[in-house]
Amino acid sequence: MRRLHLRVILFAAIALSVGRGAAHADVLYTYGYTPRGIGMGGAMTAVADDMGAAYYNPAGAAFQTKPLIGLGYLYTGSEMKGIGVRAPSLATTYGVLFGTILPIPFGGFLTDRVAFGLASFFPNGLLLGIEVPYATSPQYVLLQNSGRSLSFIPTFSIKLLDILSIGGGVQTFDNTSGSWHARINQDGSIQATVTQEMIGSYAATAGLMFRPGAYWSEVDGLRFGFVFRDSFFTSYKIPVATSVGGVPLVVEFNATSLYTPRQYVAGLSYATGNWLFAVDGSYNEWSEFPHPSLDVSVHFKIPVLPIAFRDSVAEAPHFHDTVTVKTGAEVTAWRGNDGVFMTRFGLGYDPSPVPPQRGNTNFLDTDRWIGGVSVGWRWLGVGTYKFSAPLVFDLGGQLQYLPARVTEKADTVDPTNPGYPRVGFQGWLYAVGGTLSIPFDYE
Amino acid sequence: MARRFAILCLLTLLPAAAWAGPYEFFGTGPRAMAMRGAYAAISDDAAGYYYNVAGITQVGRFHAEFGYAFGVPDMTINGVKQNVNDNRGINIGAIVSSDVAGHRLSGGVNAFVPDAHMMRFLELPTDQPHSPMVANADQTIVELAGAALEVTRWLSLGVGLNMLASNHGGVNFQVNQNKPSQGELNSKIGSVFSPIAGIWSKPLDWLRVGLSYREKLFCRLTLPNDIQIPALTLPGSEQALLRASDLKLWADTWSHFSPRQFELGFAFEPHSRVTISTDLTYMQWSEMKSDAPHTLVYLSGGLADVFPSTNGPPPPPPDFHDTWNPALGIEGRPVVDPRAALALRLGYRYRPTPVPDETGINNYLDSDTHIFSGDFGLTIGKFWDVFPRAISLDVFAQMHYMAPRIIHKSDPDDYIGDYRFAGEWWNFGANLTFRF
Repeated sequence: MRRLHLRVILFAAIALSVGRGAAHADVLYTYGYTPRGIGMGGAMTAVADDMGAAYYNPAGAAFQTKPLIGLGYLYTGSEMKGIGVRAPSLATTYGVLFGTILPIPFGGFLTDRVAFGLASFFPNGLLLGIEVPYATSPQYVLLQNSGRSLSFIPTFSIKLLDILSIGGGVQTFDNTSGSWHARINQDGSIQATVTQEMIGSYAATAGLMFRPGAYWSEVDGLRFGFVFRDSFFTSYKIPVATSVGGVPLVVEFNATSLYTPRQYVAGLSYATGNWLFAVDGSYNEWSEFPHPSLDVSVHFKIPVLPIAFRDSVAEAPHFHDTVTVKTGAEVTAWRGNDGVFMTRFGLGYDPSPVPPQRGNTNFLDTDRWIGGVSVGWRWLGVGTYKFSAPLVFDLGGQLQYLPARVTEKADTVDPTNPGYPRVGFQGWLYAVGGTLSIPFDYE
Repeated sequence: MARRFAILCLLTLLPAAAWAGPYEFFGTGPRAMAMRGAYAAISDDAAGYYYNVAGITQVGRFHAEFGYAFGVPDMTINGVKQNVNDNRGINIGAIVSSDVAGHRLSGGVNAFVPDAHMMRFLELPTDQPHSPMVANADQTIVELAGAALEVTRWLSLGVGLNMLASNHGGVNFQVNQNKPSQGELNSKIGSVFSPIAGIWSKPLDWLRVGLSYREKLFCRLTLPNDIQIPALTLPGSEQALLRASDLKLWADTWSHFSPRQFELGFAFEPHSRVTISTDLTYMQWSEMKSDAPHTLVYLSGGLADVFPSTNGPPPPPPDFHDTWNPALGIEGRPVVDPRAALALRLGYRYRPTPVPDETGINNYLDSDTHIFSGDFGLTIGKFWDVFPRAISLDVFAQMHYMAPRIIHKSDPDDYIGDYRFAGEWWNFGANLTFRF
């Protein structure tokens, strides 16, 4: 047995060293993934036994012996009210959820130990949307691009022991760079060479799942989960080079967006009877948040005229790290021949990492109080007819209260600043979603 | 001489690689590439997502493939070798099958991920010589997803999607003289989907038939930029030398075009150790739009008073024509044993060019191409209890011979002038297949 465990651990170490591990995405950070997870307030790190496993805890997939595939839809919206400023609108987000767990049917010492997981979110008609307003414009610096990017998280996991599994994967997406060069033809018309590259970027995620009940029946139902998600962002760089009457004009800009912090998440869950309780705590390294506005550099020298243009000035955002707490519960409310009905609810608190906006920037953000509900129906068949695989329907919703936060500007701020003399907002975020997932057997 | 020098300078930017999409140019899957795409009637692995998605129902349980391929070009213009990008990337595929009410249902993905980028738009001016099939097509990720149902033991139907990206977005700058410049960005990379579908049938033990449809696919790149320049003053003076100006730059282009295709294939087994397959593919290249950027520049305000500018007409259409592409593949299995099996494959495809004689301003480089291919496949039976079923290793090679083509311009003062080009592509790769 000891030798078997050693081989499993070695295999896992090799497998996980090959992958670069993975990441986390904005819409998932803001609302969570899957109606079940949303309804439980996101407290899923020590649960992670459904189509959301690759996101919530990739190690959870290794405990699943049946393949599972899930498809669903998520819609999010907001209701914001500005205080001292006109609140900018926040785009609604809706898109397709697709997740899977595929246990890899190895034989020998790897039987029922290795699984592939995938969690993905495809916003409607969009792979990546970035809005970077002027630095002084009032803006939801953390939310304005939330949900405007595809999330794609493939993972692998392995059960090292009957009580312990580990997993890891990557979130893949792209950074964008390119150029725009205009050429003047003999007839005065202009032609351009345009290049744009989308270069893959990766951020790691890794998880551990501990189920002591497999060895010690006294704590059957108790699970611990730990997850690391590396920071994630996309960068954008395109120089625009053209000619104004034969005088070269080059304007280059760089932007960073969709920043999601490095996270360390610990979770605990306990299942007893018809009840499942879960709690998560997450440490979020927002202090590494980069300057979120466009960096602009200008190269334009007009002959004869001693005129110089100035580049933009970057101001550090000075965000601070936060600790987020989430709790959730699930109860099997009814169980019959045709199926099982479940209800869930959750609560959470996510403090804002954004400091008071007393300077030139007007980053709108505040604490989030999170409440969620969800229902699930595991449909086994109708009467004596049983489906070859159960159909699992989940519906869930989440409401987030954003309490008022107002900051008075410092005296040194230009009175023409849009946030002068005070800037603030309050509002609500909401998300609703539904999924159908099917645990099945390989043929 | 100056003209030739100009051509060579321009062509150092000639991008690499493939035609429409890397799968249109090279194919996918070692076995399919070795049989040079004569695969619509076979399609019994992850290559089936491209050649005939209905064929994947021939695969049971769980099937995974991992491969790597690299293509090396050798293209010349007027006898001078061009610096064309090669084509390298990872290919992965998976098929998962289950039983639904007594019928096999199979689904999964096939993806190609280039080493260099996930996707590249390289949009060149109308008159710059470049290959429309190689400029961007190979420099892109390919993602095919599909599912197929075995309706009867001899008939399967399948559908799927091919996905790419489009891009719209630009920046607004305020280029300032007396305070820091600033800008805002709005960029949207959208998804573009095109359907694929197939019918696969095995009416006789020795005959398989496949019919496949792939919808056209293309991307649009739109880059609107706005540069605002306030009134300009001399240092120490408040009097404006030039009033405020506004420069709008707009580029709009179509790229990564893959034509609509209809593919019919037959596969025969005249002997238990021999498979012969043949395909005919109709490709609707006539729908391709110019891939040159339509560039518009509008300058207003003070700078426009000093520097007037004009805009040219939109790029002319490429006027491509539709093509018929025949292909032939042969597979021999000299060693068939549960412990180890050996397969050798050969293939040939004729790819007629859709590009007309470029007598005008366009300079799309392409010519009729003969493609030869081969493959060596080794399948090892159960050798370790971790792997419950056979594992295959395939090593393949392709050679694309692009017949020399001479371009005569109708305008003797054409900026590029007459030229001759020819080329070859060598493509190699290896693939591992795991069956569970």
